[in-house]
Amino acid sequence: MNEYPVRTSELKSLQVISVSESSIIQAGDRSEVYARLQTISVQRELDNTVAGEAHFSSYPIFKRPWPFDIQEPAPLPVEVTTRNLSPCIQVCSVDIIAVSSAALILIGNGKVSRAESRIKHIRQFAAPSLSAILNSPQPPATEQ
Amino acid sequence: VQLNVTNHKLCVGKIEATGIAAAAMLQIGDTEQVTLYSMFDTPLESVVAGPLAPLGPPDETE
Repeated sequence: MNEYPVRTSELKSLQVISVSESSIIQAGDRSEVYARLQTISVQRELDNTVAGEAHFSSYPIFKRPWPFDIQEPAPLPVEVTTRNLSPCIQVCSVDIIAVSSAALILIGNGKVSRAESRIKHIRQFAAPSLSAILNSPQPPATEQ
Repeated sequence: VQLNVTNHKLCVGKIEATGIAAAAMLQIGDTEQVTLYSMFDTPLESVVAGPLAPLGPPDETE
């Protein structure tokens, strides 16, 4: 049986509507990828010129270390030998609506893939001010 | 440790996905090492109903 050192990726159809925020779509082989995203997602009633900007340094989520790191070599070395008996990776169709926040899509072979995403989500809603509440007409007291 | 991998045919018919998000990965093929990290934080101030206070000032020590 023939052996193939590298497999070709054959992709018939790939439909993606939206790719955003440090995301990668790739067909073919690659060595290393490092996708990284930091986001402060703010939903509020005033724009930044009035209510001020948000700063990454105000929030510890952007500074705290990852719980563990597997970059260190494994205690037991593993020697991997791969034989490819088929010349290609065949894919008929891939349909995806959205890819976002450091997500990776790869049709083919990869070596080292690393993706990091840190998202801070804040919503601020305006409430009526104290003076507006005090000046508003009082509702009639209900009789017991 | 010796690990021998033999790849035969890799054929995919159809994949349908709504969303792939927050350091997620979809791969059709081989890989050696994958590291995916995601932090998502909705803090106490994530819903602030009140006079629109500015967001916290940047840390002076930075």
